[in-house]
Amino acid sequence: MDLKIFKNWRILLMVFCLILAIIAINPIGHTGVVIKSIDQDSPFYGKVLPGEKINWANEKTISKISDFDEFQNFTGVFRFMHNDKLDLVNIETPGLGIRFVEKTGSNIQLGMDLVGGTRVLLEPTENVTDEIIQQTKIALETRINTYGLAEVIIQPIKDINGKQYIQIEMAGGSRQEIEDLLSKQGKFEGRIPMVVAFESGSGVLKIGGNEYSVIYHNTTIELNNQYLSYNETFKLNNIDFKLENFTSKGAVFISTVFRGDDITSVCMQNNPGICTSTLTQQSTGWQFMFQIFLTEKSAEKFAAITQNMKSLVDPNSGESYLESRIYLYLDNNEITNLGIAADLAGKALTQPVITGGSKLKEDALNEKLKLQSILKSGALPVGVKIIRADDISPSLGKEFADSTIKTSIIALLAVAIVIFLRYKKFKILIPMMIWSVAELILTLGVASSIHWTLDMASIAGLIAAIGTGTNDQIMIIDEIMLGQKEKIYTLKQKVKKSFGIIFSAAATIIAAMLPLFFVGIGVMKGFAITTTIGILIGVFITRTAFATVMEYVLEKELNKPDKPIENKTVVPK
Amino acid sequence: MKKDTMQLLIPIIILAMCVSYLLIQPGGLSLDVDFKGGTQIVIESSQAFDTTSMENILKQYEVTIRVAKGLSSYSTMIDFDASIDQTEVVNTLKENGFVFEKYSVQSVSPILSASFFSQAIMVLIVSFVFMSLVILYIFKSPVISAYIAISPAISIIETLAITQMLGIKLSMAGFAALIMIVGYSVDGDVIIATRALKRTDITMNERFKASFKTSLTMQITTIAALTALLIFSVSGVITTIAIYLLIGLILDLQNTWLLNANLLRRYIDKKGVK
Repeated sequence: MDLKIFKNWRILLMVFCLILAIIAINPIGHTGVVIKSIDQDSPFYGKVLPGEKINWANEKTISKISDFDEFQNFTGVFRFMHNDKLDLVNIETPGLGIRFVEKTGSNIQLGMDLVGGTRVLLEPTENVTDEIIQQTKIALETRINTYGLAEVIIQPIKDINGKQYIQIEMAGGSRQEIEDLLSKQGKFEGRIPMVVAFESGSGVLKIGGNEYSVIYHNTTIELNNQYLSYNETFKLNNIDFKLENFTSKGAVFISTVFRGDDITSVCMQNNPGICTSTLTQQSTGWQFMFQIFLTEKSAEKFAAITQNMKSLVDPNSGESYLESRIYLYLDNNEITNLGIAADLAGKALTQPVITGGSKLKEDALNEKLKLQSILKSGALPVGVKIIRADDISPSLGKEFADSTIKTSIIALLAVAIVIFLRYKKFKILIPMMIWSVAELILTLGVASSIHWTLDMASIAGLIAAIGTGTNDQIMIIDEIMLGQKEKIYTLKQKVKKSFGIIFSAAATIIAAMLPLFFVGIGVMKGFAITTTIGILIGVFITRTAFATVMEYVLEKELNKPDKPIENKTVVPK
Repeated sequence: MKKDTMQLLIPIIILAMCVSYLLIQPGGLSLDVDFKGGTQIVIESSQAFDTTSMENILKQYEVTIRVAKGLSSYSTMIDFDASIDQTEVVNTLKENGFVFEKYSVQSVSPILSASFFSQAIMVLIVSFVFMSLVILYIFKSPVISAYIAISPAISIIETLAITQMLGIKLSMAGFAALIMIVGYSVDGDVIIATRALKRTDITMNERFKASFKTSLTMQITTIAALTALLIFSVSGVITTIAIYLLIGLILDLQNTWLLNANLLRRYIDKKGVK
């Protein structure tokens, strides 16, 4: 066989793109399982997040869920890789408290209608800005992380009239779970630990101007003439405390300084003279700052707790902070914690400012929104209601996925039969089939690299695009075979004419699909996107390469003067 | 009457019939949950359910039940008002001895569905305008562009009418398929026009004959693929799109050849294009 065809740049480009596409799809896939959900009492709670991949644990490669079986009774230090980071967890009582799903294998992301799950569309109950939508999204994400729900994708969506929605997609979840998520209003608490060191069995707890003696007895400690054991709660100076831990060397008391109703307001929008909420660029990255408004009572509690605290200097920033941090809880789950600037010690500020930052603007903004959301007890900034919900049971999703592959193969065979009946030549049929498969691989490659989730409609669009590819191939072949007797046009000219038709037809279809891109909701967008990607790939990579191949394949046919190709289909006279 | 004038009459009569069906159809277009609002449970099963007893059990929810039969499976569609709790309906069925695990539930508020529908109509119109502009840009002749654009437009209207006659409710997937008809239809029309105007190495008769052969092959391969999808797919989205495209392409065959090609030929003969 003459190999000069493989030196043609169009063919080379196509082969190159195919290799890239296969890399992007990664069909052999990664080994590993993905975390579906984490129980609240799991030792991994707060360490790992749903959606993370685990591929290694205690010297063992994890590639399927059953690989975890041997760890169900494990206690001790558990070493594992999550999303390629090494981490440690100390498991005290047997049980991992994590549920997993197996990785799909390749990078192709299947939509919830192919794996089963729920998708709901939320409509804000009033007109909202982009900012409020973003805040709502973060608030929902905070809740999801708090309650350790399954992997959830939350997306703001705009329709063509500019109306805003939020879409929540939960693989393997049910509508009920999403409804519960929406109705959950967390209980916020801000807690500050106080450490009392013992000297020869006793020490002093200082709250504001008051001093209370703490005396160590083996199983209890005595505080202010009251005997306390582990986890016991008590009130002192009108502040709620819990005895967290104690040894002969000291005790840790946790004070609850703030509760949800102590925070009267959180500044969400900067309003000079009224309240501060900013995000600014600094030399080291982005810094955010926002003000919160507290009740007098809670500000006094804060002052009393912090008044006698030692301060420490952060060696990195050079700034000084109090020795204890403030821990923020939602429904008794620690969400995050903040350092307290040393100069706040003992001050009863009712309008303190919370600051923080990150290298990336997006991270800083998300951190700010997350903190604001926690401080508002996870309340959503705007009411939402479910206006659309789709549930697919997992077994149905699997059947959809299986049947789609089977059906596509049958459809391809049906096309092959028609093509063979018309041209009766394998050297035409085989390249056509190869090219259809190549268009499929390339489109999937693009879908994988832009992280487009393939749902049923996207697959329909994919099939439609490949269909137009077959049409173009037929047109190219016919265009080349036309006018054999006249021999007025050279092969090159005919191929060029076929390009003209391909471009015109593609441009019209894409023009027709364009408006569908702006319908953010429902099946239409997915359909339009895969169709357009498929057609663009066809026009710029595969279909022109196909013409080159046909030019080569048919050249010999056309040069046989005695035996020209004849079209065998019946043409009505 | 001349033969080609006779031929023109066929698509015009079909169009007139379809348009009048759409206009006189009692209760207007029949729309699916996407566009009408409400909740729809679709249960996939290998055996048919007793729908009469299902209706009795679900009487309190005022459901309507339809069954679509596939090659090896049945889809039972239960429609009811969006305000009714879907879990309750599913549980009621299960408690009364209906065994199923493959099912989907779709629920759309009536306000959203109304907005979907108006958006879809707008998208269809804009799609058509965009497509026409591209054709006008390519062929630079308003008359030829109009001839090209006319056959997909008519095919869409007729497909809508025929699917409505067959009792297929218009859904979002159906709508996407209607727009795709534009794409497939224009493919053939562009070939005919390009060849007729630019393929000067062969006679005008041959240009039309060759275009017919090419576009017929294209249509038949597409129809073969769609038939396979329609018969073997279990997904409602795929079968809906397949049936719309199938009907659309069959209708388009006569719109392309009896109407578009016919008009184009008359125009070319009159203008004396070489």
